[in-house]
Amino acid sequence: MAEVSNRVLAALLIVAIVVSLGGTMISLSKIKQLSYPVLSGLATGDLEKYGLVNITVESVAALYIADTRDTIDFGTGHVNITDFSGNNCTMYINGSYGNEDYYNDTKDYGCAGDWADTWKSKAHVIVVENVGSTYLNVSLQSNETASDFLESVSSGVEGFYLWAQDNETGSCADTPESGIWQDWWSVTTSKIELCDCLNQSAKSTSKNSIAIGAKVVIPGDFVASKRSSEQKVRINITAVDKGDTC
Amino acid sequence: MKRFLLFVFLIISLSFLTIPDTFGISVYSNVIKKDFKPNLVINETYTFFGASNFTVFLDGDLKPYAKLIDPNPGGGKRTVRVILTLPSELPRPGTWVLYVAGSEIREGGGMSFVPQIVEPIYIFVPYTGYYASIALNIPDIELNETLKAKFTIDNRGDKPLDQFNISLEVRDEMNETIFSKLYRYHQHLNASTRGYEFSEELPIEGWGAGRFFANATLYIPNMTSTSHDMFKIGSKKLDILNYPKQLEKKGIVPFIISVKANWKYELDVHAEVKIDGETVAVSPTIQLHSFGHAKLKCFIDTSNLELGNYELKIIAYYGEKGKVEKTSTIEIVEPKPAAVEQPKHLNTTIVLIAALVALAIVIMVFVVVYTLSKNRK
Repeated sequence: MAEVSNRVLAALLIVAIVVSLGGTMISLSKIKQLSYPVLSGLATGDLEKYGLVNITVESVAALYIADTRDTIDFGTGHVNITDFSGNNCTMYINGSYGNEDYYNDTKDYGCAGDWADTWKSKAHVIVVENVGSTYLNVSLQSNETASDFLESVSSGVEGFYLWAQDNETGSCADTPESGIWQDWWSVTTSKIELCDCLNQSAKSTSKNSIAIGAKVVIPGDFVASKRSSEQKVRINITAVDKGDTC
Repeated sequence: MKRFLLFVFLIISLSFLTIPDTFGISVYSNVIKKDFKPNLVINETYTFFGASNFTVFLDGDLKPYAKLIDPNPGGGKRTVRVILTLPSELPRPGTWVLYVAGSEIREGGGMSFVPQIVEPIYIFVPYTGYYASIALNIPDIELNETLKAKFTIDNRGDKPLDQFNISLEVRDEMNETIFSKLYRYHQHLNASTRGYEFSEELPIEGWGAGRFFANATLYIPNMTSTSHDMFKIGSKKLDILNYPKQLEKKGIVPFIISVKANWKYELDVHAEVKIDGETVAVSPTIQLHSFGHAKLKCFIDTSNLELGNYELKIIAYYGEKGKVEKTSTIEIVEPKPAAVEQPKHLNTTIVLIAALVALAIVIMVFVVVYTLSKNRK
């Protein structure tokens, strides 16, 4: 058998490469056009349906009251009845968190024990925060009034008031009627609307919270059966989801 | 021994991962609004989460027609099912509501506040005559984008509408009205038309970047309906414009950062400078006025830095939680020798100016001499 020259070998190599590449390209172009099922390795069906990643982001309605900020604790004390005291002790806290205003009658004018001052170091306003991605309508309802919570024998001077305001300016887009917003109102067991439209955190994380303050007037003739026990009152803060618009 | 150490390691790791057991309470938003149909059955699920323990309950005037299926009353995260079966008729027109509420279980002393989150199901019984409501939606945009207010009208009466008016008012953060307009429409909306949408472009020129509040009121015969929305123009409130790229190694040297506000209202601004990840300077806080420029000046001790290039990071903080960052390199160089004043040489410009001045003087002298000699004659 005659020896094959290098030139012939080179020509054969070139032909082999051309046939290989050409065959691959023709196969790739024709394989999509096959009209009958065949083992081709090609994805079947509508090609546009493949290779997509679907992510559904849910809207969330969420109300947050930090558990370290869910209680206003006035501490333990007693009413110091003097000629000037009016037979009661008045204390209050309002303002925004970290920037509160505090008040209590001095010892000579009614408040004694923790109530004379030390309660201020522990007490903060309550911060109600919209941490969801929808707007919220926020209302408040107490389970007790002043006469339930701070019952007096006969004087009737007891008082229980609440105060609501933006914790961060611009949080509430639609404030309620006067007498509720940035004002003291006497607590009943009826539901009170605080803010028709509390800003969603998706729009503004720094303007989405309300601060609630409280004022109590503790009578000197507090009923004996309730003395020496902690007086509790539960206040529900209810937020109704308003969706994407106010 | 190894197993014991691994166990201790796991316990320590898990204790770091422990998260507080109270977050308030959350629910996947599912506000439902439907028209009344006799005997309509609405079957919905609600997923509550967040608090470690909460109760779910129903409330509202449709409560007598609803049933709650709660797989784990008083437990943590769960999905409840609500089945509302409407009666053959409801006795008054207007909106009826069923509240699906989650209430966190908390034991607090004194005066305790308990969060509740509520998803409503609104059922609307059509009014006789004209009755319509409006919903306003305005998106947040950047400064160079077009702002459009989207109105959605629901005709809830049993009469068609042929024309209606909408007044739109926009207020800024200072509660000043910056835009107010009454739009008049001649558009036929059949009775019980829901979700009729259209938009109006708002002229934002001159409003600047900031947060705004909008109020839309729909006027139809014998009634009005209002809707509010908040929106923001512009997102980044501050730009870092310039800062030193080189510092001389000669002890404590000033480092000045130029910043510019892109915000309509005053911003408190301060900056932190980091070299190779370590904070080397913090500037005092300044008040930057509306769209104002300012220079934040701080000092860096270069005596401990070797000559060469370092990674530089400048973080400018603004407002309550905003910040912008710039990352670059900074070169510490040998201090330059004191500049020696060079003798001033005449250059072409000075020569040209001198020649022109000389020529002007020659012409003036010539004119004066010529005039005087002429007068003498």
